[in-house]
Amino acid sequence: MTHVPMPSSDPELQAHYRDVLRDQSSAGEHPSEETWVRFSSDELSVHEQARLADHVVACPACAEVFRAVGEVRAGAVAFDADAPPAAVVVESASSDWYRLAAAAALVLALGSSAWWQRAARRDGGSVAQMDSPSAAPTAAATATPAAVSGAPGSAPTPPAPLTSSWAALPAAPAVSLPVALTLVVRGAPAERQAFMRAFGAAIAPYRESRYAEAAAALEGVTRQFPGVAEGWFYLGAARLLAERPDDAVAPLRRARGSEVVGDDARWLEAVALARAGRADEAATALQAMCEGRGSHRAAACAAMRVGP
Amino acid sequence: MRDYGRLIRHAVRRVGGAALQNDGEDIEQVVLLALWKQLAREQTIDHPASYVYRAAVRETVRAVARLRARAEQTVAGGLDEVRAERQSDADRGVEAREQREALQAALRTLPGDRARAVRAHLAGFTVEELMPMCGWSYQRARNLVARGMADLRTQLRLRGLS
Repeated sequence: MTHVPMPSSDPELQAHYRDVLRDQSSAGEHPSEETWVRFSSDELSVHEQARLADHVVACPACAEVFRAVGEVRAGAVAFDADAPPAAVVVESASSDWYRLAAAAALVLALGSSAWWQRAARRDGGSVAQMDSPSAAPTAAATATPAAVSGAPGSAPTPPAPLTSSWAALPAAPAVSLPVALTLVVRGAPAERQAFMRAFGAAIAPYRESRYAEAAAALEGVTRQFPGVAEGWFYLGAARLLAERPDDAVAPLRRARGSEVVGDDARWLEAVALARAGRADEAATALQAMCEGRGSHRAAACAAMRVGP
Repeated sequence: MRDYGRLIRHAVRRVGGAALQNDGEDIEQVVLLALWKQLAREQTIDHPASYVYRAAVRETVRAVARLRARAEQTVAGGLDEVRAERQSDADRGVEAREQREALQAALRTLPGDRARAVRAHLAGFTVEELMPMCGWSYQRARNLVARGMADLRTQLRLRGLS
């Protein structure tokens, strides 16, 4: 055997090993996205994990992915622990709930976008625009301000009456559980998660147009979390859409204070009053809106001219 | 969601280094938009937090791949020179080639996890990185590296290569 002096310190061996890796034409097939997702969730079998490790060691590109995924994984653990990850600039004092609400709001708001797509189909509209990649920012722009920034006045688009009468049964308001909710729901993380679970389960039938069922479920949510105006709003909307306008008035009234759905609550309350045959109260509600500065001002003024 | 966007941006920038300093905002926007699109395709999501996390991981993988592709495109012009230089090195260093072959042969004698730990160590991975990569505890990862490196040196010595 030829004697070849071999450096034995780690840095020198590492340099030689890097040459070994460079000489290799291929480290085999790259892990799929799904493999990375499963890796990051500790779902790989021992064999799969060993295969991934062998590949990562031999493939500089996948080593980069491994390190980036590791950062995200570590940051997510910090989310779970209610501690801000070092990499993240916390925007609000209600940071932990902000994260949960932001994620949930996005999910719910996008669930509502699916509803609007269905509504568009039902109304003969085209959904191709929504499905096209170029239109995606529009969809995001519709939901993002309410869902992520929580800016006042970024409420869901007001439901336009589907018939010529302003008091016709409205389209279901989009489900948007905004970050503004962080200002309302406080308490231990477990309580917040309990709300998310309860609301998420209750709003599911609403998104599937099963309003009576949704109303029953949302009653439970509002009993458990009476301080969350948005819970009352969707209870009122569900009752209204389930043709129970009288029962819709009270919860909608309790939702007036919401920065996000308050305007919609006032409008739906007026609709509910009109549909319940409480014309005087409906007129008063419309007048208040017409004289106010809310997003339904013009519609209210126009409705006043038509009458309930 | 926005936090995940930032987290991914941070992770990708750390991996990408200084070359990506101007891409930070772009990455965050791309990632956020992609996450939105992913979520928009779903009708019902049972576990939102878990779903968003998995989506974030998926987008991280894509972001790194995009950046790598862009970087490779940027250096494509110089790649031929690099290849030529590397070939020249290889031709010049018969001795170096024999060293590499010897190292590979020595590595092949190490048993499974020990070989894996040594290869990872030689490739520049830390013990802390080995833990999640292989699902090992700190002690196990450290011991495998230490014992594996000792075995490797023994093998090199046995072959008269130290």
